[in-house]
Amino acid sequence: MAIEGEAIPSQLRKGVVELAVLALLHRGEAYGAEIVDRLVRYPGLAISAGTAYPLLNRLKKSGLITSEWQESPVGPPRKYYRLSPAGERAFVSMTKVWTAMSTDMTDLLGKDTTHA
Amino acid sequence: MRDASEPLPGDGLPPVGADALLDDYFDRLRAAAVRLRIDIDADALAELLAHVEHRLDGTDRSGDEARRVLAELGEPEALARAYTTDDRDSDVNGDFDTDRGSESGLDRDGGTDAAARGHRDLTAGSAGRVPRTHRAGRFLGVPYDTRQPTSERFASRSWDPSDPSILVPKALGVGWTVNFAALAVRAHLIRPDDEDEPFAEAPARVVTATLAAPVLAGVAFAILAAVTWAGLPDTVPSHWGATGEPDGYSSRTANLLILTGFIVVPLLAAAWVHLAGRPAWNRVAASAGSLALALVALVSMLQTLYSVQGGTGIWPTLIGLGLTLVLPLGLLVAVSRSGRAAEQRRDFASASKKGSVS
Repeated sequence: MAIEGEAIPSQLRKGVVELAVLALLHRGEAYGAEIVDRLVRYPGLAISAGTAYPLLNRLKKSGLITSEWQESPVGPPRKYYRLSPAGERAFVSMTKVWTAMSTDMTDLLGKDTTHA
Repeated sequence: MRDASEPLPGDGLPPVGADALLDDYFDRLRAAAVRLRIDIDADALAELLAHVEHRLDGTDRSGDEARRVLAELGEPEALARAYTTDDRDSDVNGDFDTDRGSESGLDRDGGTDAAARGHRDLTAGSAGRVPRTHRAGRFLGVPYDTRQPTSERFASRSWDPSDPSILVPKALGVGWTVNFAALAVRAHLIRPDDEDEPFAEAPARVVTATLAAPVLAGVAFAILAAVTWAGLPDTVPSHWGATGEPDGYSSRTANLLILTGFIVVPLLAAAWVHLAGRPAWNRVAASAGSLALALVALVSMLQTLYSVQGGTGIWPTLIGLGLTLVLPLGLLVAVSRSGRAAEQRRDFASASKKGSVS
């Protein structure tokens, strides 16, 4: 079942992983390593830290997420990310696009796999 | 984008035939491509024209029909830009500039055609998105950049914590340069998201003080030169082979002048970046770059002195080159930590305020 994460063409992954990070932050704030760790649970979405931080940087620059340092009960302080109001709006509209696309893609791909 | 506010061809004008509208549209497309220095090859243009003709097939080829068909393609400028986007998207390592933000491509209205892509470029654009030009890009996989160098580009190449690549395209010239921040991240000296923008929150006096590092290296060089100058022979070794034997000589005057230039020119450039009030990112990177080059000159001087005095081998160079990596890296890491500490003070202070209110 596991899709080889890195084997998926990067362009396809790029937008989806972006939505995945927004979805994760929609559920609540998280710090960098936490985002990576939580996405690892989804083999299809797993990203390395080397992918996660540039992505967080981009999302932050485009104003979709904000960050704030917080004291950690263990170890050094952590920088937590959360969705900005613009990020919430982007998440909602991207989710709509994703839902429509995913239905269409399932239909489109489904026809092929039944013949395969 | 200049043409964004212009009406589609023909609006408000007397009725025109499809052919005139098509000519006008393709003229604008070609002009936009030239202006943006984007290559849209003849095949691609022919394909577009064929698409338009196919759509017009069976219609009365009126102006209205042509406008409807052309509207599907979007504004000529947006369309021309879309050809860049396609090029860059097909190149996995294509984001060779500081504007990776514009690649995120959040298409909020869910459009999928060229017009929407143009819109995305509009919203992301002015921050310096650089179309693929003849002056920067890749040739046989090797990056090159012949655009006029800027302190932004220099800084964002030599210190970008969010970019995990250690080797990044040079800000000027052919090949790669070292992203010191990626080294620092690998060495666990910093984390990629320690600072929102590098050095932005570091105290101003810390940022200014970084210029002292290359100045000190320059002073050390000047003292060393002043003390040893009289004792140097007229020609001194200035180049060494792999075995450590000198294989190149130059006059002591030429040697001194070249090395002095190696210190002074970058130092003046760095000082200008500071005086011109550029962002802290640019300023600290300029200090570190200047420091690195000053150290190279200092090391070269030491190696010459060592050889003149009968020393064999190039160990002063080896140790010195190590230092030219380590000292600028140390400077950058120190300022980055200072910036991180400032961010934390800011956020903890606002958190405790919130806490006392609730």
